Amino acid sequence: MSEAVQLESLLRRFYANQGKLRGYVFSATRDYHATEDILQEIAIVVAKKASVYDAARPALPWFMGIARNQIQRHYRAKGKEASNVSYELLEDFVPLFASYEKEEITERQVALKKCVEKLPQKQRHIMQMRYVEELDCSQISKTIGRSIQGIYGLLKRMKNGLRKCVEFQLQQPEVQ
Amino acid sequence: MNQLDSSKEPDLISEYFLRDLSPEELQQLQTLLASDPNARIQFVELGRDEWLLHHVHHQESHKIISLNPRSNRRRRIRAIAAAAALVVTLGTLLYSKSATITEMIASKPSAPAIASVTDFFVLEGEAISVVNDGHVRKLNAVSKIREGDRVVIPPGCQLSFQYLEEETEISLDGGALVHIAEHQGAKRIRLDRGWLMADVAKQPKDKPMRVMTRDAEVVVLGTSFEVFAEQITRLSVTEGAVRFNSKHTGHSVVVKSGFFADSTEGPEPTVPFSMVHLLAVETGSMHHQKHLRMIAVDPVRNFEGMLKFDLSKVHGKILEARLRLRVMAQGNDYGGRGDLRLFRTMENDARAEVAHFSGGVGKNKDLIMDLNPELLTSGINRFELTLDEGGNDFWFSASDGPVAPVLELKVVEGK
Repeated sequence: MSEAVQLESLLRRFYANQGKLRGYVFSATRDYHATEDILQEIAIVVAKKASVYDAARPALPWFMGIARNQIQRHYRAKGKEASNVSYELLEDFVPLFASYEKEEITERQVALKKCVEKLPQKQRHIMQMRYVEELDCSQISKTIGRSIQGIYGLLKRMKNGLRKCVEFQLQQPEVQ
Repeated sequence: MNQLDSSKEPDLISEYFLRDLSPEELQQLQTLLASDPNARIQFVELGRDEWLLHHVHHQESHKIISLNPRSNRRRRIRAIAAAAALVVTLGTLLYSKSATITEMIASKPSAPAIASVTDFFVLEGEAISVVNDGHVRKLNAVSKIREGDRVVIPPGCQLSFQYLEEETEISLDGGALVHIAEHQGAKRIRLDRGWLMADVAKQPKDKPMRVMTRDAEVVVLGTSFEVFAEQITRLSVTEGAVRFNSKHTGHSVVVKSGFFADSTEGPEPTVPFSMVHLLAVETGSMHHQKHLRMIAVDPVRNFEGMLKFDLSKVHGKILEARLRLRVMAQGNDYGGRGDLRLFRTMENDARAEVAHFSGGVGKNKDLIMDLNPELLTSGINRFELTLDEGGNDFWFSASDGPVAPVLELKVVEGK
């Protein structure tokens, strides 16, 4: 296989596995932007090393190895100890991370948008702080004057409510 | 072994995505995940929901949309610049030996900005990424292009940028891989793969712009041109003239308006050509009777598309053929995705694959397939469109829909 054909083949496999990789990386970093950056890094590393990659080897474990290195770099860059569930455990979850694939996500995303729009103003404000302003729970607790445990509880309840709403929306028959 | 408090199980999983757990809590969570399949499912689903909440809010606050759809963009007319169309097709090499990634990323991260993004479209969940000196960044609608940038555009995405302080504009389609550089004030673009179109303002005589591919080079002083990368290098000029250097044959020719050249050893260095646009005379969705204004292609429901084009009035050898399909949407807002195959069907029901597209295309965008012209014949040509297993359904505008399918042909003229 020529270098170019191999690179193209590897990039195709990368894009085909992007959902699973996204689940793996996000479960380790829990950081949306870092996850997207790391996925880009993986694509670049794949492009750089395609010529020396042994095509007989399965690609996904290689991608995950690159991802793991990038996650470790991410934690080092932040100057903090990695606090993620072990990589070995996360690697076992890979089949489950198919739930991050676009085909699985699209309808859920549409439903989630509708459910978020239905939230009371106060809860939407909390959502904005958490997911748009990207404040952590302690910053939110200071902003609205509630205990941090109260914020954890509030966010968990809101997310449970949203999940039920999404499941309900998804069970509605498709409107042609 | 630690006894797990079942009342804490959902809290630890939920809180893992809200805060850093203590080492003891993390150990407890790992023990739970290692032993309980339901906890694993819950962990993955909660993580996915958390990611999706970020994603939905991110999409809302940073709308990723096409800022300036190509179809609406006013084409600038320049007195000085000629207009040309260049189609370059090169082999499947993405990185030639003479232009490795290492060489491509040799510029500094502080490299000067040389252009601004003017048109930008990415599919959800994808990004146009740039490598420069080993640093990676994602482009957005207001990014600058820097000297030495190597740009990777995933299938289904689009990018246009304009050079600073002049009107030279470059457009790239999904699947393109380019290196953008300057050499002693002269513009250099290396197209490793994909399709590129450019409007080039007048360049200094001693500093022409060069578009290089693996096996050819185009030298431009001021013109408009297109580049498309596949097996060999082909050039078709619609106005003005450009110099075309083939590395295969060593030939260097000036290709004038209305002429075509390629990098292989042909009988003539250039031949005249004309553009022919054919609308589909009939379209349909096999196994699906609804939505007459759309062509449905869905492997799950066994929907396949059907198109017919009448080539009886096309005379002369077909040099290039492209099928343009407008992607509509059915119940969602992002178009379709997967491995789409176009087959030419014969009278005896035999069929031959003439084109293949892999990737996603956004709603209201065009999916373009480059066809093997040797499989087109005079008269009615019937095609079938299928999507491989695992693809997400495509819905295209039918011949009676808002934007009918078009077969774009470049045909040798006057023979």
